[in-house]
Amino acid sequence: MDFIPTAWLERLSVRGKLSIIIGLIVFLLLFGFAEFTFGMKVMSGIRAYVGGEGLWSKAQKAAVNDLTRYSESFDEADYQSFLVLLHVPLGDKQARLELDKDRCDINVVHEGFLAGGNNKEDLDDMVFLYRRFRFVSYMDSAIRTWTEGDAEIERLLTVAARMHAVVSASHGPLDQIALQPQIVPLMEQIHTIDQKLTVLENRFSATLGEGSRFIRDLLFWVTLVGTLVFGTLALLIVLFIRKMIIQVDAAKSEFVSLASHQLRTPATNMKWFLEMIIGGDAGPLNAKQKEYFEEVSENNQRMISLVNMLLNIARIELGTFKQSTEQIQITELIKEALKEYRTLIGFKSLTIHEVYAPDLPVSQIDPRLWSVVLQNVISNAVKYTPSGGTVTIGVSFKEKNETFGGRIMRDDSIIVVITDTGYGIPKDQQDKVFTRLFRGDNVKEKDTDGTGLGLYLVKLILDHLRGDVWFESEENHGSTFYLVVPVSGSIRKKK
Amino acid sequence: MENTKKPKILIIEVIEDETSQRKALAEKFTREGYHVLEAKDGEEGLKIALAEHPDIILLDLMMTQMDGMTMLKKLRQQNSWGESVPVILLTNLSADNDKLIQGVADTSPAYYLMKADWTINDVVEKVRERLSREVPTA
Repeated sequence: MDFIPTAWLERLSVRGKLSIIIGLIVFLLLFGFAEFTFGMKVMSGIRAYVGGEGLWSKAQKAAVNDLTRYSESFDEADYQSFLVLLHVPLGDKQARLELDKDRCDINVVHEGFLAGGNNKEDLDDMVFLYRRFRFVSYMDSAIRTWTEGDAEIERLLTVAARMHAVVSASHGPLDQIALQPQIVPLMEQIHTIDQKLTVLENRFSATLGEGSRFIRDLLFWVTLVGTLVFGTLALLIVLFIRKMIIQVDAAKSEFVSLASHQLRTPATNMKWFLEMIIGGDAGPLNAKQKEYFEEVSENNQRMISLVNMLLNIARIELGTFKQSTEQIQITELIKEALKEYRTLIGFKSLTIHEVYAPDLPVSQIDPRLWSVVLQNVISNAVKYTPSGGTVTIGVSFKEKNETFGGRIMRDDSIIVVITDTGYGIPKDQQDKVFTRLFRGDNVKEKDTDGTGLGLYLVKLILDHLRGDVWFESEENHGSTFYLVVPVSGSIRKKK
Repeated sequence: MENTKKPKILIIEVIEDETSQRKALAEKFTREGYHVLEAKDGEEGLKIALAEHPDIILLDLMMTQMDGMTMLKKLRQQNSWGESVPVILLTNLSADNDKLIQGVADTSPAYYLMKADWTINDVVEKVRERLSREVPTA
């Protein structure tokens, strides 16, 4: 990993890192695209030449056929046909000669190839291949063969011209037998040339075939190596970035943790001094003084609660929160949580119903996590229900695969349902309920006391416990919160 | 120094490097009738403890110079008195800190309480309760 400058990478800003990743991806895509296009162009060019060769040799063979017929028929039409057919190889030759010039006239080349019977759509690829690969072994070899072939065509034309002279000077087909001694040797020469041409034609295709197989293999290896190299590089960078993200996350939580600890100290100091003042340790207070100091004390307590909550959140997010479970009856924790709010409940004359299933087992749970959850949900129910209202807390137990609220329990689970007749949560805000710092618009005015972190923490803890939390709520009617927590090691009481 | 409020002399040493906290505790316990000794760090605290033999020690865990746990462990190794004087650890560290729990177990008789969760009267109660369990030494 030393060749990757990790120190430099770490110091790069987020934008820098992102730019590198995007740059790499773009590069990879462009490289892939360029490679593919290039490969296709070369293969297409080779295919065009092989096709062109096919036309070349067919024309040549047909020409020799016509010439042979001419040697017997003495028909001028046959000779003309012979000449016309040779336009194919001659056209290709024109293109080849023009392409070999330093500055070639592309129109001359195109004209030549078209005369050779090639498709005008292939012309670009054929020119490309010739110009760019002229001296690459396969191409060079094929062009040499081609040149030899053209030389043979020249010879063919020369011998054919001689024959034409002989036939033209004759008096027609009737002279044919008399002219045999002249015709036959010429035909022999033509036959030899034809045979040689066959060999050259085959060689040309074979060479190009080998060339195309070579390109195919080359492209395969280049693509494979390229993919592996860039793939590995990209993977390494992605892993590195992931590590960075985890570190940043951890640093964030650690910062919150550190800040919270630091905040606790002055808060605690103030707490104790306030306690002593209010308790009269520093002398008697008048009513107003006591009132003001109590306000201060309450605010301080709020701050301490907030700090505690932030710390819990940070610890859970960091994963440093260690679970310690005990065999506990959930109802005990609920009663303890209710005790905390006893004064407020009494002050608001709220009716509390506790409905516990008779067969609730003692379960292995973490009492601290559960206390936080229960306190938060109960606190919400109590705080946001107006005087005279009702809060109902129900607890039941469901075994694995039983259903509740339309959900199938993945494990034995404890279900806690808390219903209140309070202010409810407005419909348009219900999807934000579990986000940080959410407080319903309808309660913000009524009670400025909430931190907005409670339900976020509840969800965090429930997720941590692999449980589920959801709610139903109607503004000015009330809310019902459902908590489902899987518990293992529960000992179900015999019914 | 005799204290004038109660017949018994009970000495508490408060080792805190937070002056505010130390002051709150010192004044409170003095008002409650205890004879209070103060130290601002572990080293000073160790010296005073061994010299004066207080009946109970309130010790802050996070201090400069010598931190609370180190001082406590040193104290326990000193002599038979050092081994057995009850110590209450004051901290704001979270309760699931393994080192803390192990430390408390290793240095018995030791208790810890989280400052942010306890009122100062609670602390006084705890001290009173712990001392009432001891057989008063002459």
